[in-house]
Amino acid sequence: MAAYEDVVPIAQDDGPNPVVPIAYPAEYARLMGFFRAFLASGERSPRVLDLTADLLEHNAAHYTVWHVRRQCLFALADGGDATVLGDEMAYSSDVASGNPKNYQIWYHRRALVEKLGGAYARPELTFIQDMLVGDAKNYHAWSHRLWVLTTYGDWDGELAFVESLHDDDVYNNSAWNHRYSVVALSGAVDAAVCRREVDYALARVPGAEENESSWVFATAFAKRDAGAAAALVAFCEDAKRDGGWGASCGCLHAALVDLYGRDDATKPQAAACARALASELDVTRAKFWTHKAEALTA
Amino acid sequence: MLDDRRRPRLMRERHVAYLMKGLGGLGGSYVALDASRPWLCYWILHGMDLLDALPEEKIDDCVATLAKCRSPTGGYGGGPQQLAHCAPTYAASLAIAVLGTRRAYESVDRKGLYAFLLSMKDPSGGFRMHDDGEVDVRGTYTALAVAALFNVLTPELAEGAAAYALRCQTYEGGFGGEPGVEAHGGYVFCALAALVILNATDAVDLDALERWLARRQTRVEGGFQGRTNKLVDGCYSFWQGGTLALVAHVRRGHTRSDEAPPGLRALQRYILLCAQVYPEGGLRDKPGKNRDYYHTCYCLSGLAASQRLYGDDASTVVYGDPGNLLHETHPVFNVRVDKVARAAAFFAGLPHTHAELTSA
Repeated sequence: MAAYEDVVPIAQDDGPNPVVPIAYPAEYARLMGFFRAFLASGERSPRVLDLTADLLEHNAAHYTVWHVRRQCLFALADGGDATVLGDEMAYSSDVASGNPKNYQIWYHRRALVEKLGGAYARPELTFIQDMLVGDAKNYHAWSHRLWVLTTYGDWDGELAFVESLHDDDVYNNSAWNHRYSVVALSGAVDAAVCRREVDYALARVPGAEENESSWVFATAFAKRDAGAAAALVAFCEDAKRDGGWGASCGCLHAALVDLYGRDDATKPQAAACARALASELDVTRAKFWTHKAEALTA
Repeated sequence: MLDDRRRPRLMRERHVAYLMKGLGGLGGSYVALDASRPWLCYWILHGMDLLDALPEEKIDDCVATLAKCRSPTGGYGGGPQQLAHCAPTYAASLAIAVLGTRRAYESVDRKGLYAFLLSMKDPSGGFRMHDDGEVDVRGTYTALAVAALFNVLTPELAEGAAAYALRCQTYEGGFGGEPGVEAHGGYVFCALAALVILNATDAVDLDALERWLARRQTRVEGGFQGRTNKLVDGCYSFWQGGTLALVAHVRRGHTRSDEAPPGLRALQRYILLCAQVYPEGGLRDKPGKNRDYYHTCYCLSGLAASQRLYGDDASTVVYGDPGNLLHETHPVFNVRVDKVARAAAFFAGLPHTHAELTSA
């Protein structure tokens, strides 16, 4: 490649009898020789930037290559190149869509947004939303989203966004977790908010009665406010009265173990729920619930 | 896969052959793991060690390869001439403990390592994975585990780390990778193991954690899922199963004597019947997926962790053929218990204060 003709490649120093040697594709091995030379010389230039892109096509998890790429980008940006970082957002969106579960690409986005500043927060949320269309439980995407929100404080529309994901899939636990964090971090969690969130979760129980996500979410807000707790307990008691659907619902009983278990007066009821789980409603975890029942009656 | 009494059998020879082949060399598609070569060493060597098949004749070559991954800044990179990173540093350190020879131990540059780990500390109390890299609770665990293993865990290094890990426990009871992020098996293990290393588990909501863990075991398959409402995956046999072992360990410290955690036989059944790749050997995420070294290591580790509770020989539970019993793995480091003890004996006498480790 003409662009590197003045560069003396540096071979990988593997020693005489390496273990786990990889039969590198020839092009990767050749380009890595130049990369190591630039790593040693400290050159951070447009041609090194191009080289990193070629290498990332072979191995998108090469964090040293990403690191050098950022050094090139920031050197060029600091040197007056006004478009290089914006272009990089487009480039890295592209790489992300092919490697959605790669730590490096998501850290790269974080570093870029940090460098570019708050004006890029809103477009970044749109980008993440697009990525979540492909995989609504992409862990990196959700982490990144929470970072953008907490860093730039642009919470508007976030609860509606989560709601739209729950309309698609009420079992999406990532969305439930996100909702919890958004509520907990974006403002005061008062009685009204706790009640609202318990109601949000309970509205999504019908048709998905054994969805652990909604029950655990509701229980978490119930634990933060007595009124919300009373509402949740009332809902459960209604549902299991007279052999209603709640009488055979494992998640409902698990929630009651928690809620009744918080007060000495209702601990016997909590223990009864745990025993029902052990004997009938969640026998996979019979031992766990038996222990729980014993602890509640001790 | 069945023994002569039709009990599920761990196909030791086939797994050893698969692991041995990888140690000798990997195909071109492994270029995607070119920044994870210490990991490949660890996954393979630890898997073989649990199977009592560490290849003695390869030990010095392994030590030499790992030494080539050492960075001049201290710590280890993902391969020769790569930037130091907490994850390959952890993998290389565990591999050294697995190798367990004096030459392996002496290949460690403890002062350089300490300087690297200190330089990864973040104001949040977490650790950065590498210079200009992400901060999450993997950083906390990998840095502290390495420091504990080589006896360079100083108060200066540990400062703020427990508080960061504790902030990662979520309303579900598990821990996420960063504060506020969804509870996840891999991060749960990292957070709890880090807190055990720091002897700082008092502020963990253990009841909530225990319940979250119990509910991550899938009803039909018996294996573990990583998160609520996700699919089973063999690797969580260790991340969740190891965490179960840690929880039991912490509980014992709080005087609640307990029998083996529930569900261990079902977990072993999943590993033996669903995760073993027949007839080729190696283990996998789930049927329909390919074997790989990562899943082979963590399925075997999960099997070992579920066969007996740490430090409690009376608790042995072996599903299937009695010959399935593996060597005991240490739930904090995921290295054989005897290998952890051997390393501890070697490093105990070496300088270990901040002043000693930072002197010229």
